[in-house]
Amino acid sequence: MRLAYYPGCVSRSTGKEMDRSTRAVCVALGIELEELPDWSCCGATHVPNELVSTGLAARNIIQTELPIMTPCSICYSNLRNAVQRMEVPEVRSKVDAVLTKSHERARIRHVLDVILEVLQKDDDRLVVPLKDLKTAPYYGCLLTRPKGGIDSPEFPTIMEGLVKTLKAEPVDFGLKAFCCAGPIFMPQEEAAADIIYSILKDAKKAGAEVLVTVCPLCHLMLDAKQKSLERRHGEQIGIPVLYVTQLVGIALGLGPEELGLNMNSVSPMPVVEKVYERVAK
Amino acid sequence: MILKEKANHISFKDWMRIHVQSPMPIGVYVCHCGLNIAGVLNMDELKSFSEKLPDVVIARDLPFSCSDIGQEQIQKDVADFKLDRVVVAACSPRLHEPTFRRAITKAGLNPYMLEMANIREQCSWVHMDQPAMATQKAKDLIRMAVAKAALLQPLESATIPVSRDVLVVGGGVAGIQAALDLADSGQHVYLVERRPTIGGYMALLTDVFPTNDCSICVLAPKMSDVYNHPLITLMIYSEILGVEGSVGNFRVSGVKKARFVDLKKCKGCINECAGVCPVEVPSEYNFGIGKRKAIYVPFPQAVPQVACVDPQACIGCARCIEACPADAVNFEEKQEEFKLTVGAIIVATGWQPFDATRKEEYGFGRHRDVITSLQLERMLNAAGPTRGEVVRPSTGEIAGSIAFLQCVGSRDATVGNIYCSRICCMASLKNAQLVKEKYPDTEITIHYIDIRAGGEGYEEFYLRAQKLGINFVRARVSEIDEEDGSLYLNFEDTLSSSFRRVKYDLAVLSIGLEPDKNAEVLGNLLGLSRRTDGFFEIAHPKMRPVEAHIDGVFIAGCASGPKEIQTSIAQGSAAAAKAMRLLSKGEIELEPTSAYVDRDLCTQCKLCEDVCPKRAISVKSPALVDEAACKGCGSCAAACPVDAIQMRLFSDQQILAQIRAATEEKSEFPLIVAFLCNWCSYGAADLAGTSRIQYPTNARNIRVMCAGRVDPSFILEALQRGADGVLVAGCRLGECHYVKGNYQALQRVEVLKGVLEKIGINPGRVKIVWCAASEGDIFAKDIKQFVQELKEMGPIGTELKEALPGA
Amino acid sequence: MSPVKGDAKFTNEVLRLAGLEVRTCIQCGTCSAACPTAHLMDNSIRRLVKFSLEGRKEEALASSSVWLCTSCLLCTVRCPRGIRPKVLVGALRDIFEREGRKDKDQAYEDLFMRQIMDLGRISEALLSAEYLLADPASAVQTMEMGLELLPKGKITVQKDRIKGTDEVKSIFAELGKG
Repeated sequence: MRLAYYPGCVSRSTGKEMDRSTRAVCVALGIELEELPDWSCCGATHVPNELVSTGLAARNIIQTELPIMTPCSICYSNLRNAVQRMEVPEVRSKVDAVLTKSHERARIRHVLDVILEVLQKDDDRLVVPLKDLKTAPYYGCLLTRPKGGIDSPEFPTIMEGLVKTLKAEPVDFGLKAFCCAGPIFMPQEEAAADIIYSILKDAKKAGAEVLVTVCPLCHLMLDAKQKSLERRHGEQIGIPVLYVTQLVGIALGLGPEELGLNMNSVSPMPVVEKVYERVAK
Repeated sequence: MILKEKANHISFKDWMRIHVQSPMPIGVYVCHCGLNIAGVLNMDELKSFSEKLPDVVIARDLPFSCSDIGQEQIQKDVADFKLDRVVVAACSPRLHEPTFRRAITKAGLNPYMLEMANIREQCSWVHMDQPAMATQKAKDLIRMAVAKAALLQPLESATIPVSRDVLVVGGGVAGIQAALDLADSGQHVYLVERRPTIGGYMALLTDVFPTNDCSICVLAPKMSDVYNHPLITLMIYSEILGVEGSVGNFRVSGVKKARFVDLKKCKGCINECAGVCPVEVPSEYNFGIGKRKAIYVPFPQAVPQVACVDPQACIGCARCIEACPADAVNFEEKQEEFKLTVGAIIVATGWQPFDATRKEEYGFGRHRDVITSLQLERMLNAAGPTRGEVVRPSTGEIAGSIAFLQCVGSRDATVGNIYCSRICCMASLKNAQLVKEKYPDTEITIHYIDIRAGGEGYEEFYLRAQKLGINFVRARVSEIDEEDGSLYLNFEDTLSSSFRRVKYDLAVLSIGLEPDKNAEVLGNLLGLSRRTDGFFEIAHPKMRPVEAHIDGVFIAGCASGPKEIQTSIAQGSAAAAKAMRLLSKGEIELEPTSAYVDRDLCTQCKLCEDVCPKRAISVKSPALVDEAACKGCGSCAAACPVDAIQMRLFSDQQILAQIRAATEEKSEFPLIVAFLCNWCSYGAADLAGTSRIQYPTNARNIRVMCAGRVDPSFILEALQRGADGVLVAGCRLGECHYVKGNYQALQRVEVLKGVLEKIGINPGRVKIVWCAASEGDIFAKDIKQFVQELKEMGPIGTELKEALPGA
Repeated sequence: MSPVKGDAKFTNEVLRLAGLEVRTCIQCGTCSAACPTAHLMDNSIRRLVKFSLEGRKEEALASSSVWLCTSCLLCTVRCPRGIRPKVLVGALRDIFEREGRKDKDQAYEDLFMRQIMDLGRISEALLSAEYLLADPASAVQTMEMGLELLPKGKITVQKDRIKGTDEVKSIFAELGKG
């Protein structure tokens, strides 16, 4: 399978392990990635004019004929939204007018969706069964929104399926699709911190050993903020937060370095060791 | 004397032409209509103009042609001059065409040998300030009428014998009412019901609004009347699989499914057989909250009171066969095919409940204590699965607090249902009252967007609910979550702008009504159209509430949209009355306006089949018109690529003759040939006249039954012969009397415009407009604007000259 | 000025940016109750729609809710009228910014867009540093996050400029004009 790769800005900073694990997993699964030559920011959640954000996303879409894959839910949502908006003739003509090339309806894919497709055909490569690992999928918002994507925008279950494929045990928790409040973290730190605290507590209460995310902003909030939350609340939370590509990578037998596991704030290594111990038994 | 008078006016050659050679003598009568016409137009000029037209043997001006004296004059002339066709230039044919048809019939002519020129509504009344130009226009209109008259053919209205039997599809309350009304009036009815019992949803409800009387108590007598009526053949557990023929003679085929229980032998004791049945499945008649066995009676009051084996659930252990004291269970039973011939069909196929799992945010199917309004109906029903107790499914305990959520699956674009389901507000008000009366301490809140209580006694019913202490919160609940086994509703109380997260024992989703998927087969067989909401469309949203677009087919109850019991019953009765009216004589008269096919020309391309709104034409080597079903709109004739289809009353030749007559003498610039559909735009043009709205004289109107009749070749003919512009005017989009004729016209005009552009003619010379019969002002405005546009374009051909080098 | 319509120019501008379907709002409150940050807001999203339709410009633009939207799209997924309230919030932000109004919440967005225009991509470290200058009160969280990420090698300060910055600028200029 050959896909165009849109890493997203975060891949070069706070989400380096997302990028690294995405590339590693794709190599392991035989997915050939061709990075968009001159990709630009999708606008994330900070370009309020929808026509402009559609234009920004479309600028990337026109750079390839291949389906475009991204590991970031925000980029994914913006690219999908742009494709939907470009169906409106008025929007299309305005956007086409400022771009160097006319926009063709492109297929936008999230790395999660690509991995699932490959594993559904062939799960032989899963050499390390994540036996009984209590894994809580955290969807956040944008993987399935706007609607019409790979799963329900209200009650997604696609990752539970993946978790089972990896022989781990999915843990359901109420806030799995509740917004992490990342986009308002800068101006409203305290409110955002309260929200992620409840998400982490909810997952922990449900018995999660590890959280899985599909979005670098969710990841940043749940992982990098966790220690500060522990300090603030005077309690230990200690849930490692893995990108879905890191989780799959572990099951594919890839090493911690390849998956950037050392870059996570809450170290996933104890969990990884536990997995290997269980396998050894 | 008249001959002498004529001889004075015209040359001997003309006299000879008229009196000796004309094979089809025409009489022309120009009406003064008092001063209504004569006050504007020059009557003498019109009369002498008419006399000189080909085939005209006599022309007169009459003070009031519609008066007895006027009619007698026409009749006398028919006899004296041996007229075989008549042109009356007077008011709109929509007003007096029937009058003059009757008049000439009395004189021995075929009624269809009449043509009218509309020189009042569409001439004298709308061009009062331009008498000279108006007279010129009237001359053209008379010339056009005479040209068409020369090509008229006598037509005979045929009568066909019809079956007086009626098929009612659907045994809910609407179908039951229709069947009973018909049968009580002496007409034989086949009532076909898909399920093993009649009664529909009404039979499953508890008490019903606004009187809170017991639903089944008022319905059961009707159900048993149906079962016992000598003139009703109840075809239970049956489905329709084929419909052929048309009004008066529908040939219907279907199957009666195997019930595996002998209807005659079964005594309905049910405990004997179901008691030993080892299989339990959720009961569809309790909407999943109760169970039934594989052999079952749908509900205690089912009609017929006969068991039924569910072949999907049955494991074939045959214990029921052994247990049955009447020897009624028979696993060998096979489905049976049936064939019927009926004169009319009443579609009363009802509705299906919205699938609440689609609103994932409410957690139906995930949270056990979230139930639907129908499940609550069954709980409240004394004969239901909880024997009338309202309990939390998770614990089986009586619910201490209940939330109702309105508009679940209605008024909701996210599920594609933007319509209001109409009954849910009242149903929740009713259920809340029933619960409150039974358990006065229960806390009940209804979450609503708008309470819709429009109906007799409905607002009073709302008032009663409020007085009982039921809470009302204006909010559309955003989601229901579950925490530690309790339900929490999240909503914004929009009247106090406060966010609330409130715990309830039980949440009731007021689910909306959707079109029944099972009715799709029948809808397709009959060719019924659907509205955008998916329900069957009625012939007119106001004036013809129980008629389908297809003759002889009627629709009653929720098949045409959500409605309460009362209205469904009224519609059942109305549909029955319509069917009786249609079939009571045992024969029906067919209007002789239909299409017919030149079988030698037909290439069997099937384009006509696609455009026919009445499914009246079918291509069976070659195409064949069902004249009983055809309503003469002419869309097939316009669509036929080889002109193999002709209309009896508005033939191609007649219309082309009108076009040629209109353009024979280019009496003004710009000259517009206008095609107006009979129902709306011709009506609008008449209304502009009765309202005395003044507009330019440039249009020469040709009446057609539907804009869909306008063949692109008509437009080309007009332009070729020098018309500066062609106007096609139809009903407003979506309001066509033949459903989609105006869309077809639009499509053809768009294609034609492309062609014109290619050959260098300004496509703006062809204009298509829409106006309702009530929009005389819009019609006048359209003409004014088109005249202006054509003035700017210049006479036809200007663009070609401009395109030539050196021009 | 109509007693109901208030500042009609403002209403029309919101409708242009957010879609004419905003007019079909029935004020049911689904959007507000779906909103994950509604509890932090002075005026709910529902009220922002009402303000916009009634031309109550100052009330709308002064609402904290304009800056508390996380773009989670749940309002948009659930709206029974097919309105996209998130886009309406964006429209209000856009109008706010185009009128040159300033606010600490707006500052971050402003920096964000400027960086896209300049570089074509976002460098989060750079962005945080600049925001620190705009809003010194954010120092604590910025530093805290920085300390967390720096040892992991996730803070990159080098500027990473794409080739097509002109095109990006024209996207902003052409598609963003009022």
